[in-house]
Amino acid sequence: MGHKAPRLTSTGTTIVAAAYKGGLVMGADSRATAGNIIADKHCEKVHKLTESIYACGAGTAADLDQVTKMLSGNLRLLELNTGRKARVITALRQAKQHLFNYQGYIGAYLLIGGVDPTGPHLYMCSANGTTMAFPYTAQGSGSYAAITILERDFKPDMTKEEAESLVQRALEAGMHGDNASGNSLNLVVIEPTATVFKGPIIPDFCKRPEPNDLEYKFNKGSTKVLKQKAYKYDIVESMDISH
Amino acid sequence: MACSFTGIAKNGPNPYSEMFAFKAAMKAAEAEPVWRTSRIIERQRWNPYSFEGGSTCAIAGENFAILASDTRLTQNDINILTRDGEKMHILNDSIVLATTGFYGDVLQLKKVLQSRLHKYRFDYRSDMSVDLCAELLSRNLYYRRFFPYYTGAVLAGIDEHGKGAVFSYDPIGCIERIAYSASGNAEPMIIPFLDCQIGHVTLSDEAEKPPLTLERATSLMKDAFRSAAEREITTGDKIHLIIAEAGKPIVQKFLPLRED
Amino acid sequence: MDTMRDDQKEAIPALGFYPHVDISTGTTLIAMEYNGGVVVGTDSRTSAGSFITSRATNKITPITDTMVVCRSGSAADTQCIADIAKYHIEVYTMLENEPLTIYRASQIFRQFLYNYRDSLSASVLVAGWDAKEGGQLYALPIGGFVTRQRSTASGSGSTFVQGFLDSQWRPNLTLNECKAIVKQAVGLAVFRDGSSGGVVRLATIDANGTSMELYRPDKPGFPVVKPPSAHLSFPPHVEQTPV
Repeated sequence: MGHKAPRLTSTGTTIVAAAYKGGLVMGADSRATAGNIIADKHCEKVHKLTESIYACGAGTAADLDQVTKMLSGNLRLLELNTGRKARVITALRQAKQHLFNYQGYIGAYLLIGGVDPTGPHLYMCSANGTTMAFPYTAQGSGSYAAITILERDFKPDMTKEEAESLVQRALEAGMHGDNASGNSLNLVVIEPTATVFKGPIIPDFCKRPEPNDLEYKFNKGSTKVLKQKAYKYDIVESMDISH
Repeated sequence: MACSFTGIAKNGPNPYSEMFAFKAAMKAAEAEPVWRTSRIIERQRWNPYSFEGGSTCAIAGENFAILASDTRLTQNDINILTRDGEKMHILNDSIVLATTGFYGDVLQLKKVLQSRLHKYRFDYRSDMSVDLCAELLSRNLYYRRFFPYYTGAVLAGIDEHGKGAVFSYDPIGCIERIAYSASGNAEPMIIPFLDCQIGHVTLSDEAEKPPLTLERATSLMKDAFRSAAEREITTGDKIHLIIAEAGKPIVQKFLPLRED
Repeated sequence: MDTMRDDQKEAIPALGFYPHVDISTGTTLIAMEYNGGVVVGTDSRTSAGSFITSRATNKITPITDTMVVCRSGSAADTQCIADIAKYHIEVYTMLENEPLTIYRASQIFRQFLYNYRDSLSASVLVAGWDAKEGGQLYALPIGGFVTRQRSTASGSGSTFVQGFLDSQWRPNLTLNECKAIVKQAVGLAVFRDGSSGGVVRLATIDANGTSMELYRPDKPGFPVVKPPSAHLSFPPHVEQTPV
């Protein structure tokens, strides 16, 4: 009862990922919403966990930031302790056990994907701790539109270019059809040898069709001054805080 | 479960008290069974309304009135129903109705007004004036005081003196004639903008205050919607612009807005 | 158990999006003993409300080489219980230096399902083979009650095939007979149950270990269900096109 807690959420999101021959493409839109207001037009929803493991997040923005921060920290420690590359399944286990512990109260819906010595992997982890492995999947409010494209066009063993275009088209479908997704998209292509980050890509329909007619510049003295008071002080010590 | 029946035994426990208590408990359980959690009750409560989002806006000038709306209809803030819905309706040569809210009620309200205007034309052999129509709309809204049209209506047009008129309403018919108005999801963004640019409420006395010409009003209207579409998710796709100028036919225009 | 915040539970019926609905395996699980082991069969649908989260899930989770657990109920809960029980079973196996009996394993599952019965909505079938008792099958419904069964069905699809299983089981089934019955039962359940579907997965567990099989609806081998059709000539005064 009473007041709803003010929360910055990115529940409205489109995140998409698909595996191809020898690699994985993941992507996300960049809109964060608080209710029906766009809180951030260019937020980063593709989180780096390790050099070759990435996580895309839908759900509560703060929870996603904290969970992915925790995961990347733990995975880095693991890599330093063992001297080996972390595996995707490790990231997934950590995420699912953490989220299950909190019984869904941490609103993080993750797509965790990457390439490790056992090959490319893509997993989904929902806030209550359910995990699943997929060749391709989408999450967030735009996932309904995105999944239609994936279900129609996904083929096993695609080339990198095919997979990239598929993920981008699925994201664009989500961004076009879903109010809570849009603005721009980010892609990450993960391969055993290299990880390439692409973005922000702005699809045509996300561009502003026309500029403003008028210029809104206010001349000095435009604002009404209601009260004025001057304080006198002496500078005892100063410090450069510009950097 | 208090039981006040004490008519039989003056001393000692009432022999029927147990039975009455049981009956009362049974009645209470029927009215609100314990297994019906608040959420189930909430879910089962009948709600005939939905809200299709979007925004409308109107500006009155010296000899013109200009209205605009976006053309997106949205379900549950997220799902796009259509990218070219009509939120504004030209009722006659001098009256335009722009409405957001529950689209079912928007259409019904339009229908009601249209039929009343039709009857007026039949009875009096002339078109209704905007002032009269404004009062008519107010009464129609208040008529449904306890089952309201879930709408934020804005009525605009050219009045009998050839001046621009804008009337703003709440869902149950509170009416106000003002210089500019907006309704819908982007109302909280558009109103402060117009307050600054038309109402000049924040400007000092010395600041330059450009007069509200038709060109300036049109540009402000377009810019208001372009800016709102940047930050409000249920506003987008197209601007629907209607310009009513005294002594001229009503002009309609469609301009692109962002689609994401 | 309902543990989510109220503001997260805002449903979007038009999208089939019900955040308060757990991701769950509205499932068909069939299992049956035969003369050398046990056969289990499942569908592959995982849904959240009316949305199919995954259409090719594997609900047969291997615990050891000769034991599997079939999960139904909340996906998060059953995955977690399977993980924990598997861990305990592995510890006991290492400490005692011999494989656990299926009965012991079922008791470990029971312990968790019973102790956390208030916060879990999980039910499982534990199926496996051990040297002592041969093929065995334990059913653990919600709450942690254990029974050893010769043939059982569980999940939402089970109601549709209970009678079929009763009519088909007899002592000393051969492997092929048993597999045919289980597969047909899954097929029948999937046909009638809206929350079961996808492919049919079979697992056979005997002295040699576990072997998994997959039957896709678009490939031969998928169980055929052909119900009697309705009389198309009714009502007689309406002309109907023959099918």
